[in-house]
Amino acid sequence: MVEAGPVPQIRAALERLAARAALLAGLRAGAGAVGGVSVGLLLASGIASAGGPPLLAAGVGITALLVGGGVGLIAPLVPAWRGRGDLLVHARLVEALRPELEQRLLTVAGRLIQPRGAAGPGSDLLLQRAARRAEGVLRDLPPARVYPLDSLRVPALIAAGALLLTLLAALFAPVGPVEALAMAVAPGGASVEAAAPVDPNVRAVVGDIELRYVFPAHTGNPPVTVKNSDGTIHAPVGTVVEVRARTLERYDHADLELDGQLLGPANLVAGRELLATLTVERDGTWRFALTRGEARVLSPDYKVEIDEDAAPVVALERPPGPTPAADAPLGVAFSVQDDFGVTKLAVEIEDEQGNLREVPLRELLDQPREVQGVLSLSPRQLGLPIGQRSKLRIVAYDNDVGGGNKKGASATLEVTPLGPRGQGERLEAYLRKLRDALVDVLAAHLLDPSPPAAEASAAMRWAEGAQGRLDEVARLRAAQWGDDGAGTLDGPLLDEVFADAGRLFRFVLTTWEPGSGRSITAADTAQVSALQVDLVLALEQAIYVIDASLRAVALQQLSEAADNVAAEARELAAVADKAEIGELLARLDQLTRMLDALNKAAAALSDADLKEFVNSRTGEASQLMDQIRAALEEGRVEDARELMKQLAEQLQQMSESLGDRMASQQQDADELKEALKKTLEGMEKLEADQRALAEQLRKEREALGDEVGEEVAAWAKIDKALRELLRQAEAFEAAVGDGRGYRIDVLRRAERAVGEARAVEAPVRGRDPVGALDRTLGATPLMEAARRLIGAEAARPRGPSEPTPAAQPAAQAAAAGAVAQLRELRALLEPMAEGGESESPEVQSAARKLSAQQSELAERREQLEGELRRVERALPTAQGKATAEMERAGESMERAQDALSQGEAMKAEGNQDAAADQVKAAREALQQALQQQQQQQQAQREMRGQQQPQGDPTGKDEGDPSVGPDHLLIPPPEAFRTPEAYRRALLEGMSGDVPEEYEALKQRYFEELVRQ
Amino acid sequence: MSRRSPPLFLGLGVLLALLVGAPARAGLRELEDCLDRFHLECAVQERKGLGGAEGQRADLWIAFHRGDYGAVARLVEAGAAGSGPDEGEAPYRATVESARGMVEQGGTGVSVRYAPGLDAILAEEAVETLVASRAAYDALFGGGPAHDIVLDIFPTATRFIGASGLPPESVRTTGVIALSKWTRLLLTSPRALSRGYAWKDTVAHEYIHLVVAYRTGNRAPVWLQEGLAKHLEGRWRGDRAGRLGAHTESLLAKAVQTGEFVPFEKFARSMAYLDSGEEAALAFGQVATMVQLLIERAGPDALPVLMDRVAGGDDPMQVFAELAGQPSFEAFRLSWVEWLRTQPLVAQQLATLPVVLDGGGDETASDPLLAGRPDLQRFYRLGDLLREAGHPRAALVEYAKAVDPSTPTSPLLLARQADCYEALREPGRALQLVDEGLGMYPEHALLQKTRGRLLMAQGDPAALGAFRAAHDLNPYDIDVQRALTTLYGRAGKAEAAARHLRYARLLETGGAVAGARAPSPR
Repeated sequence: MVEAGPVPQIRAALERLAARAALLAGLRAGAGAVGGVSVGLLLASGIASAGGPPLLAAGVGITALLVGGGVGLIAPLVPAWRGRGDLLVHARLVEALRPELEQRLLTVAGRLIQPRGAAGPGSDLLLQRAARRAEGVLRDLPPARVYPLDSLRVPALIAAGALLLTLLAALFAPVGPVEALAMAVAPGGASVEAAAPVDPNVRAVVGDIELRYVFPAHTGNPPVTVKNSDGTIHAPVGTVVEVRARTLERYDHADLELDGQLLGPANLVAGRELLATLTVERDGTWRFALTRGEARVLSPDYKVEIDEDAAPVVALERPPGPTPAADAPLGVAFSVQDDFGVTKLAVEIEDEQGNLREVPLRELLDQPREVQGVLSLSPRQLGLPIGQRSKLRIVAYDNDVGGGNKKGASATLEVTPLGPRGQGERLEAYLRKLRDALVDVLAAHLLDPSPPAAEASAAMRWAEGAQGRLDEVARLRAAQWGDDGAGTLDGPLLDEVFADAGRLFRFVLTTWEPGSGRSITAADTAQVSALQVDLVLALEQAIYVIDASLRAVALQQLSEAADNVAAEARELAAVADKAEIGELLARLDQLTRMLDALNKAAAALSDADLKEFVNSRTGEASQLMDQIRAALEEGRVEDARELMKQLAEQLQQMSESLGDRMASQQQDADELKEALKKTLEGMEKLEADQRALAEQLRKEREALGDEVGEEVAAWAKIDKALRELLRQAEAFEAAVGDGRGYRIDVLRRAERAVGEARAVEAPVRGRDPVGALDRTLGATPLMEAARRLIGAEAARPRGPSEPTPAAQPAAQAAAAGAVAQLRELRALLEPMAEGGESESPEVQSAARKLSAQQSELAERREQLEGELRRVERALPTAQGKATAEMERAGESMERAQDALSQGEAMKAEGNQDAAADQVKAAREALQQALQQQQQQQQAQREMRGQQQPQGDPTGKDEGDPSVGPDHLLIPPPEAFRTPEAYRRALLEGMSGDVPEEYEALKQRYFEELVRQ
Repeated sequence: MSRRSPPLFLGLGVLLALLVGAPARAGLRELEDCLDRFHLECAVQERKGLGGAEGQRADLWIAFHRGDYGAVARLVEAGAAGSGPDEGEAPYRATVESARGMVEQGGTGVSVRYAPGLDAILAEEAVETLVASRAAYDALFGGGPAHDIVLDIFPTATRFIGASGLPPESVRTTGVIALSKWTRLLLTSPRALSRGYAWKDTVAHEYIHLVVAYRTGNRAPVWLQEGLAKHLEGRWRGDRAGRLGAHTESLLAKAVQTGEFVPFEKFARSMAYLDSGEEAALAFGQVATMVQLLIERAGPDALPVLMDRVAGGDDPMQVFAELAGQPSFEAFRLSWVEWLRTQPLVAQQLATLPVVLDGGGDETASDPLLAGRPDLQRFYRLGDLLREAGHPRAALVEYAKAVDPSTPTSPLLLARQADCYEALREPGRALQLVDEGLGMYPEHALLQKTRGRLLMAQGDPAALGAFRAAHDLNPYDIDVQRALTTLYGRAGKAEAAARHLRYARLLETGGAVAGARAPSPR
């Protein structure tokens, strides 16, 4: 063929199109390869990040990389390769785009591809004409129209997307694509030692270690990055750890080794930045092996420590005593903690033969990591044999599906449930020991000088020694009740003793601190004396109440034993005429044993006279029985029968005497109860009348146009803030306890802060805004400082023998609360202190008119105080607190009376309110004493073995009326289907009326409930 | 006619019955009058003219007054008691029940009955006391009953109440522990009281009532009876001073100072209507000192004259005044007040020892201070606990808290404080406290015993007197009996030592008398 005319241009144009097609194919191949490789990397990263085996991740990754990359690369090139040099391919495309060519270009292209010399169909002329025509069209047709760049869009987008995902994976995936592949490259196979000589004594300096933990999915933990790590890896099995570090020197290559085995190459950026990934599988060590030139050096060894998915940790927070009552809830408070969640709680019981069984408690659907609860089942409900020792453990199961649900168990509780009688005997023995221990403590405190010492060093020695006096009491208490002495007879009594002891020791330690440079003032001496008196009073009260219970029980037991003996003697006398001698002798033996029991009961009496009374009568009866035996043996049967009647009569008289005494005591108790009721009613009415009079005064002021509303409201707020302040101050003091674990200066500040806070009360009660503000301003910085110092005590380094204050957080919280209340008071008092307007003459006159009514109330109060004093004296559990409050009420009433007579309405109101509050406080104190008396009677019943089964925890059965009020446990939530049902049941339970003596308890119960 | 006949026959029947029964009833009335005048012999004489049911009833009355409870039981069973209101007042059955099983120990003209067992410890000395009383008081008053004097010692207050015919509440509230009634003496055993009492003087006291009633034909008013008995109750043992108890003296001293005596009119007819125990004690003190003044001024020979004139129907007050050399009782009363001012009375404020029967209260119930003061009992009990736990010094602190300066001193507290000082080896201090207590409460057995123990430890022979006093109050204390055995032995009084050794053994064995058989009710 002759290539002349337009044909060469056509060839050239078609060749250009071919070149463009090849270029585009190449670009598509590139994009495909990138996409394929990216997919492979992503797969590897994904598998590794999901915790898959490294080899699998690497294998899948490489396979995907090769396959994807290959396919992506080759697929676009194959058609291009096939069509290389074939101009017809391109001509067809042009023809398709420009149909007006009508095959002319194909004709020309066909000729062009024919071998030279071969004749084509048609003439050259026609060919030339077609060529011209085709060349014209080709000239106007840009190559981009034939092979547009749009064909690259999809592969490019795919490649870009894949690349972007890969980059994102590198940045954010737990295991990056490169690390994932690195695992495949060096999964930890051959020893590196052989690869190059390493001097083990020389270690590369590596720092800035950062560990990024990606935990297994079942843990539910988010990834955690630990910067500036020491290199030690703590993690559960399956955790992927990305290690980043920096070397001091530059290296050419880095490998990661685990337990001396090559794990794979580490990324080394800029010769110093190291990046590697490993998956935690077992305990061991890891390190980098760094190569520079021929030299190979190791980084230090770092530990890999497996954090086992440990079994739940079960802690007992309030273990019971060793001999709980068979039918009372065990009340064991416990807490459970687990790394990743708890699924089930149970009680594991081991009997004396070592047999184990479990009693399920709760299934926890939400699998919390922390659980707190109280074991409220009784030993009987748990199936524990009475009188036999059993071992109990609270057990919890975790949610570890891989390793099986691991079980955590609490410390073992060894319990020997006792029936009512055994429990009673044990309680009696405990109370006896406790009383005796308290007597020893009392003796020591009674003989202490006051103040305990003049010299600082001597005072400190005294305090250190005296602090141990109550140790035996604490030990006995713990042995009896565990950590739960609430609701017992001795519980509140001992709490009072320990609190008073704490106050005393704290004060001495802070006031007489050696080297403080502080001089002891008369006020200090008076204060320590007062604290000593308080402690002695608390000890006396505890001893007396416990002893009174023991005495009452001894008398009751004696009376019962006497009744039994008398009944037996009567029966003996009744059968004497008919029974055989053998039977009579046997019954005499039985009577002798009963008399022994009676003597034993008499031995427990503290009353020497009564003991003598019983001993002489039983001695006489014993002797008479000897005479009866002698008469029977000598055949004087008639004599014996007569003597038996005499014996029956004697014993009956003794029984009746004791019965009379019991009846007399009961009569006294009934009379006291009646007097108490009357006194309580009187106090309630007095309080109501006092409040009514205060209200009347307010209304009078309102009616006279006095600006009473705001002021009254402000004082109401101030009163409320004051109450809360006093409550917080008390809580603060209680939490600080006896001061063990705190520095002396901290205690001193705390003492002073509490004292200053309390001093706010008096001016507030007296409606003296200026004085109250002064006190508030004085107390605030002191309390603030106390809060700060108490807080600092938590982190202070301590010696091994120095205890950490147990309730430090509570103390800090209470101090913070007190500070808040002081600020509140300040805000409320400031505007009032600035006011100070005097009352109008009309208001003054109205106030004076109410003076007579106030006077009448004062008279009633005085009368009530006398009755109250008598009642408190007769009530063993009372300590005169109610009378003291009543006296304070008297002072307030007197001030109110004075204020009214001088026309000072506002001041009168404040004192009237204060008086009403104090009457109320007196009533509550009396109710509390009554309640304690109930506990005393309950303890007496328990000591006599009259304890009865505890009711159904849901409260649906009748329960046990003999169980004391504080034994009423809030039922566990699991006893109810829904939380709402639980709440409703509690509220319903509390809605009923309760006897007066339980009012205070009911209130506390509600408060406790609200806290829950 | 027929309509009138029944009333006619009925009226004739009643008249006939009255005519036939009249002499018998008159004899019975005279017999009753004899018994009212405490003349048992006279009643026996009157019995001779009675027969049938009246005779049986007379037998019952006489047996009851003689204390022959076996006969009483039989006669009651036979229906002799009748059913009228008069008969119902005599507690025949209750007395028989109360005396059941009691045994008897006789002496010259006396008969003491007691419950077998520990109360055997009383018998010997009860007989001695009664014999001595008969001798002393019959001579003093110019004669006494000829019949044997029966003393029933009841082991418990319950049995005493049963035999006394008094309401139980009355006995328990007033603290009556002995009676002279139905020509017999009734006594509650000192064992029924927590710390015993001066039971021997009480026996003498009741015998005085009996003699005075016998000598005056039961015309002596209560004030005279009580004045004589109170002032003279110690005379059987040779005590001629007749001093009152410290408590009564303190009341008198106060009355002398304030002039607030109990008006004589208020108790001239009966002591039962006085307002309070304190007032009764003061009234007893007044009459006892009046008797003392009479004897001081007229001598003991005035007493038989007094008895005779009162028996003859003279006004006791006037006779009393005349014998004392005063024209009227009012004049006597004024002279008595003046005389009283000269007497060495205990001025310290004191209280009487409460009577607690049959173990009816704890030891504080019988303490004049602590009884009724639960607030102070608390400290007392704490002191006891400390003392028993070996902390005597601390116990003293608590005992000191149990003292209320505004009330009388507690003998129990003094005894306990003395115990503490003894434990602290300060016997001098202990003895000082005990002496202080006994000065106020000489009838406090515990104080007497403590004193004896302290003195004995010092080798002081006065210990014998203290233990002897403790024994006279409460003979059931084995420590006291052992101490007396030792001390009498040391003093060479073998007989007395043997007696107390016997008592000690009796107490050791619970009151057993080997092989003894309780006799059937009398």
